[in-house]
Amino acid sequence: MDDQRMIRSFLAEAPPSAEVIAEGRRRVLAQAKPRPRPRGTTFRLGLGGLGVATAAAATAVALTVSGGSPASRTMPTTQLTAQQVLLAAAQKAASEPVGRYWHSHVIDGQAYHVAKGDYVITGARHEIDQWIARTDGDDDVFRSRFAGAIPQTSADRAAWQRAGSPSTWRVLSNGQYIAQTATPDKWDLVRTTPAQRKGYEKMLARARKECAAKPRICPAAQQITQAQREALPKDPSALRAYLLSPGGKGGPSAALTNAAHFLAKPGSPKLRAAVFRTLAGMQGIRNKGRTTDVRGRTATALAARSSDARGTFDVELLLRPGTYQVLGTETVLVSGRGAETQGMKPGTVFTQELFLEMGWANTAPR
Amino acid sequence: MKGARIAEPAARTPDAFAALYDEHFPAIYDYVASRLGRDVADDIAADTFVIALRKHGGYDPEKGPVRPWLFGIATRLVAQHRRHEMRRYRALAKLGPEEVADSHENRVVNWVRAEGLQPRLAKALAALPRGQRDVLLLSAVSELSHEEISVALGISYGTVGSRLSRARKKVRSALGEDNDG
Repeated sequence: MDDQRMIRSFLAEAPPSAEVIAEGRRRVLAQAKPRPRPRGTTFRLGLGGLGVATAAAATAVALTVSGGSPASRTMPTTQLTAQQVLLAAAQKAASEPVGRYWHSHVIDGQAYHVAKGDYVITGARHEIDQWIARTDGDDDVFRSRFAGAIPQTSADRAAWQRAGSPSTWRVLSNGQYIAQTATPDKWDLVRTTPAQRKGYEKMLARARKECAAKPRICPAAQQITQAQREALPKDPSALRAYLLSPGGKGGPSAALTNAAHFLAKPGSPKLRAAVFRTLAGMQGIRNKGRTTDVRGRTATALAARSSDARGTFDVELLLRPGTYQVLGTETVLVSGRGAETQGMKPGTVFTQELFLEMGWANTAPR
Repeated sequence: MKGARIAEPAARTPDAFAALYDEHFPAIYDYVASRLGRDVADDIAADTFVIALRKHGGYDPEKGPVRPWLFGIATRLVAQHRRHEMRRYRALAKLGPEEVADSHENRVVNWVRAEGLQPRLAKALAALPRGQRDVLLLSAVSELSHEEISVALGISYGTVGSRLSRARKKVRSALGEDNDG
């Protein structure tokens, strides 16, 4: 037995939780003084050592590092399974009160590697902030803009600064170079009155009718109506097939993305609960534990692997710990392939669709 | 090498410092938690970086990478909490034989417990002179090299070697000869 290794494991404690890391970062960057505190009075003697480590690991980040480096540790965890998290989310969703508007504020984005300076920016950050009236009496309000591109992590920001803090970039996207700028667009705002909405809905209904007659002229992905959505919980296999679209053939990673899209639309608490329950019944979704999204929010990540020509990714559905509020999805790079992920490190958030607001509200902007 | 050289003056900017924090905080935390326990580890690990940021001028990139410098600050902070550290070793000596998950590290810990060695190991660690314990734990817990430890503690390479071998000898003899190697 190696005595050094024995000492290491004897003294080992669970790794710091995401909250501890975030709080420390905040204190350090605020250059706060070390807090004076009466050391020695708060130490819980009877709980020293591994008892604490085991208990703490239950609430801490579940860090599972596989072999290799001798420093790596596998801490005991009593982390919930993805299924348990989803069932808890379903229960929570079923009891949410509805309001006058469905308020949805979503920001999309994609990672681009900048060769000059070797860092990653999040670009194509399209932002939609909308209030959808629940009844026919209220206006819908729709705001959108392109938010500017930004370096993705603090390390990327540092590299960007070393490169002279450029505010425009030429990056590779779908085989060609496109421009990205740090300057955000102005918001544009569109208000839809109940009368206008009625006209729009009529137009959609007519389009659907024409589609039924001549399927060929229709877009491949037909949007289903609100009424059709609300009927889905009555038919679990239909909801499951819908989440596994296209055509019920998508895998668990497609289901996570589709579920996030689905949950971003107004729906009854019953419908939202049914979506979580359906995900809970699927294979291939795992709980990755606590993570921090690109906006610094703490989240529980439910993940499924997916691969395409650009690499292997973990598609992650992010839920706020405790409330199970959906924070959006991130597609995290596991290993890259091809030009578009070239230069990106594992862990880069390749695409993101983050929910800044998502839920019922009683007021909308005038 | 884990500790990348963060060149001045880039690291003067808060973002560069945040990157340094993100890279090194978990390791510093592990080190402090191993010596003082989780109750105070979050504060002291963060204090390490607060001091590092304030003493930025004191960091000399010529002397080596950032990592040992941070461990040096952490070790000086740990030294201010000697009573804490001693209490932790006493508490660890009394650990009950409760079952823990079956990871490799835990099998090692269980073995230490099954053999009834934890009081001896804890006592041996507590009995070490501080200088020897600093070297031993930087090496055993955080796996710093001799060179890194010499930078962290501001002692010569030779002193690192002699303190480490003395400390290991004491621990091994406390555990009994049959547990060597």
